[in-house]
Amino acid sequence: MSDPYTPAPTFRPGGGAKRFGTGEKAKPASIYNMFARIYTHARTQLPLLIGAVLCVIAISLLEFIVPQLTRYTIDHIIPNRLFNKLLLIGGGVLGAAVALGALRYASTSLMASIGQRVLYNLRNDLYRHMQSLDVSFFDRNRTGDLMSRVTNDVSILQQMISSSMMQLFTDFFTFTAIAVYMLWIDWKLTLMLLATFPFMLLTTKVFGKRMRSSFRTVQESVADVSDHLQNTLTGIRLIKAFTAEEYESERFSERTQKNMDANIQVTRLRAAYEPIIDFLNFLGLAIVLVFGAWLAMKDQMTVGTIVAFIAYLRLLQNPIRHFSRIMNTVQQSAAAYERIMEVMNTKAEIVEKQHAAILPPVNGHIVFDHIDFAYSNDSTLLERFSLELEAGKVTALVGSSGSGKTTIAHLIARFYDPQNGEITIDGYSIKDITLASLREQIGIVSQDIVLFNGTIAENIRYGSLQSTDEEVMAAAEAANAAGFIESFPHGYGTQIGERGVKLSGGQKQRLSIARAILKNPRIIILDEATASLDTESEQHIQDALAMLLKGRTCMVIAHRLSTIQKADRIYVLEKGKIVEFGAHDELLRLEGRYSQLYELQFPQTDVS
Amino acid sequence: MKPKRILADFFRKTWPIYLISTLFHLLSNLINVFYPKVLGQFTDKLQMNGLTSSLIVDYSLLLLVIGIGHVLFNGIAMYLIMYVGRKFEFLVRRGLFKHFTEMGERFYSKNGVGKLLSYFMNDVTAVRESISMGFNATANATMLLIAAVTMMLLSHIPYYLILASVFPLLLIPIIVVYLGPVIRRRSLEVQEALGKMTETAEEQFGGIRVTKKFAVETIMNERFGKTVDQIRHHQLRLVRVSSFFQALIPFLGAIALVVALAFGGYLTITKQITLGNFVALTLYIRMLMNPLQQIGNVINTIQRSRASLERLNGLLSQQADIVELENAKEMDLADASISIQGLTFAYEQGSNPVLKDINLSVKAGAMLGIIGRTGSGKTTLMKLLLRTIDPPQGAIRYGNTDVRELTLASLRSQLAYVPQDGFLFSTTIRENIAFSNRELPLDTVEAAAKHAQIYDNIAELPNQFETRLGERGLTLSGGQRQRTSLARGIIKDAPIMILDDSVSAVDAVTEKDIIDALQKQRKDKTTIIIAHRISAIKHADEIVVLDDGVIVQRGTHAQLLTQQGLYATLHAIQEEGSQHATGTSHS
Repeated sequence: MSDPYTPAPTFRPGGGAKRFGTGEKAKPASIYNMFARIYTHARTQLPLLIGAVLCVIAISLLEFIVPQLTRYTIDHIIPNRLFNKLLLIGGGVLGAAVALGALRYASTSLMASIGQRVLYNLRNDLYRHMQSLDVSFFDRNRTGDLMSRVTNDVSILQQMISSSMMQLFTDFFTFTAIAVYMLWIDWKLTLMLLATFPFMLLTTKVFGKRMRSSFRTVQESVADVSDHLQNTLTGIRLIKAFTAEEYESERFSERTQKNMDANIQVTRLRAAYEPIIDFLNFLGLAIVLVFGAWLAMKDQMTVGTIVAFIAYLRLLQNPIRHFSRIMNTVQQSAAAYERIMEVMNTKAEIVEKQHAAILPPVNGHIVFDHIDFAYSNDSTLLERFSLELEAGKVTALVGSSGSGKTTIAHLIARFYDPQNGEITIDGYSIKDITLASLREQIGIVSQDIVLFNGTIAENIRYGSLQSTDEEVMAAAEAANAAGFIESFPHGYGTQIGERGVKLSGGQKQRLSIARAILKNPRIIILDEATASLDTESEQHIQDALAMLLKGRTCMVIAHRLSTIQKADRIYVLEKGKIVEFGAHDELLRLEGRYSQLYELQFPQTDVS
Repeated sequence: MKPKRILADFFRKTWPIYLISTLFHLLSNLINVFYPKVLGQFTDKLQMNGLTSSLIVDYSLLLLVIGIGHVLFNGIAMYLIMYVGRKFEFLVRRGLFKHFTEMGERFYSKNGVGKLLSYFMNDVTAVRESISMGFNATANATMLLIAAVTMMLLSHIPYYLILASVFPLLLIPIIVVYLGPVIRRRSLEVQEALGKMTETAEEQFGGIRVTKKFAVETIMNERFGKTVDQIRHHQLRLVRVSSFFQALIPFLGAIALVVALAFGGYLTITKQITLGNFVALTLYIRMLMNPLQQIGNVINTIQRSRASLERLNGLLSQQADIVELENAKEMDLADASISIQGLTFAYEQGSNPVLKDINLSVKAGAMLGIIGRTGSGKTTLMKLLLRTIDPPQGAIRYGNTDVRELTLASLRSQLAYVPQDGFLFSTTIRENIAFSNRELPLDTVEAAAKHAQIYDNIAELPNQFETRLGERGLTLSGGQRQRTSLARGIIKDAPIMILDDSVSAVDAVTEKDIIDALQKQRKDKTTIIIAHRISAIKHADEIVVLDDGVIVQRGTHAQLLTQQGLYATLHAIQEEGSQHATGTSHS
């Protein structure tokens, strides 16, 4: 077996963002990694990137030129009364201004465009990766938490890429230029000045670490807020019915309060860090002053040099101050990046083998061979469980809820891998074939109905994307859904989902059956497909299903015996074990669990 | 409808903090002004060889004090502003949530969860950023600006020269007026695109199983990709105007410099002003550049966040559909009968009524069964009883009181409603069951679980009642979820209980046990059961058959069976299997 089962360590899906994914600690992503990854994405836009960098360099140069022009005016033009040159200078500054404006515009636009592209890729990668992860991943993780990663954390990175990176680059450029120039003027003073730098670095390191962990707390609390919101807004009707508005508001308040506290903690760190850096700057200045004055008094340095030096020193302060501001964004981005990487580094447990075969069209002979399965470590659901579904026959599973029926369906579609044992279809182990070829041949209609925002036709077409409108309508007809669909003013083009028409449970179910009918799979699993339907619709659908099932392998899961009496074989499940099996009549004669269920549902005395 | 003004309200409450922060900004800038002065004196002394080592120490100490003072006040001022910014975020989010809990059905059917989430996550943050960062930057920039202009005015430069030089800067407000709305509109598009993406992501994380079942991951990726592409598109559109705007303001600064150089230069050469004045003028104009750039940024941010602010204000000024009357009453529903008279209801005016002329009365302590096809109006009727949608005046009465005259709290706290979907919150099972009153002791919770026939399942879980449920209680099966949700209704022990098809996913044996338990437990209390299956309602005191919004039959189980009609037909279909089976095997 290529992928040994990695046990899911927690049964508590809501156990907090720290227990992410499989619980393995993701490697802490360093700032270096972050920039490296951004760069790999940005590399495809290398011409743009080079363009932006050139713009920035040109801006720095032009900004240097403008004061020079002023100086030239003062030093030469005015004393020499050069009227014609004055106009020239005016034109020069004007030209520089135009160029500066254009360059500024170009550099911000270019940078934003690169940033947006990088983010576009990152967000799509992240989302695509999530889509490839197992169902168990989504069992373990809260939707709100995942949402906050795709939205909030990526947006934080965007801010850094779009605005701070250019600033960082510009400052680095200015800083180096000035520092080199200063070294050239007087290396001794410069070294004195640089004496405060190790302290700045140390401060940055100490604070950087704390800031990042604080930001991490912030982002986790954002996930908490978003998760709570997502959960309560989905259940809002219930909250109202139970007049729990106050209670939920209170709980929400607690979470946003936590978020606020975490943010204020960050602000405190910032409020301490930035002034410390500023202060170290002033300290450097004082050192230069004392030392420079001492040198001047010993006549080793001219006063003019010191004055010039101090002027440059002030220039140097700006990049440093900027840098300390940007550190904040960088650390925040690093924390966000870490959270994104946690998802990206989570590997799907259910992966195809390297040279997985494509499952050819099957007859549908499904065998469970001594399967052990548990969702979590401490509660085994199936133990040495064996089951055989004959090709082309209808097999039914009955049993009280929680007896493992749905799990069996999920195992066939390989949403989860069993810990032990093998499941085969027509002799192919489902671990040896591609997931797509497996799932394409299985149609599941379940008790959880999900429709997406979009039109009715689009929702049905998920079953088979290439199908024509006629096929979609035929499927709806077969699922007994055509009637209500056509009663809507827009028919098949009616919008459903959160912003569209509200459908009743039965109507939704019929759409999901139409979807499965359209898919035309070899193997059909009906998991309580008709539980929420009223009797008449159920009756109609039963007829439609009977047609659909012909010649296919079918597994029907139900607790309503009326739906399964015609099954070729019925298995009665209790707590993950098969207690009885056989055809309907055989089971009745056994007078065991099945006939007990049957009696309850259809008491003979009731028919008056 | 009065439009809400969250920002104005907030400023009204927090202006002292803003004032203090402004003062500190001022102090810190004032201190900063001394810095060049001290440096100047120092260099003067140095040049005149008047420096002694003690003076050097004094000067450097003085500089350090200036440094500390500047840094300290600036730090505190910034901290204060960022602190209130967070406070703003907190207050607005809390307010939004409270507002959401007040909104009704119509609101939630129009707005998806993802879209609402986006308000909390994207819009509130955008406004907060502009009021905290924006304020700090504006405060600093304004002071620098004022300082530069004041010094300019005090420096004997002719006013007409100053005016001519500064004139290009006066164009800034015009640009703001012209470009502002464009930036705002495009920001709105960005915010809406963000909302759309949040919505898509939320929907698809919830529906991941379907995606996997149909192996349509690629389609979902494309769908999501499209929303991300929209964001990029709108962001770039926004960047194009906003960076134009941001480049324009320093450009005007440069134009001001051109005027100063050319006009000022001419005046200097013609000796109308001194060289000193000319130097000073160019210096001051350059001093203006930095704050101008900052102000440009701030205006930009403010325009963007105004889009968010408008979205938030718009959301908050939407009013709840269901409003309590001013003199709404509290009422004990224990002995109240329910009477529905001539109830006709349509979701929208002019559309087909969902319920037509319903007349019904349920005596206190009775059990009513409602059966009917999907779409026959059963759930709508329940929503009207709960007043999650507003019934017509006088149509629904508890005792003699119109449901619209009751306070929502008194009505809903005395009704136990169990919906079909078995929605569970991601918290512990215990909290889910004891949702109506979190303080209930464990044995009460256990008793309710026993009545709902879910106790055994819970007892088998590793943490039993303290087991946390995932996103939507996915670790429980459909039937288990329904029963847990039922236990939540049972524990409320309310005078009136409504089961809206709450046992559909439960097997026949368990269903019977549940109904038996309910009958026993709710002997003297009113219970309304909606079901598709006759087995769930046949013991009711009265059964009503709804079809297409009209009551077509009513009576007890036995009476209804004797009538020709929908009830008997349903019964026959549901029993068909049984007869078929008896025909072939038993007799």
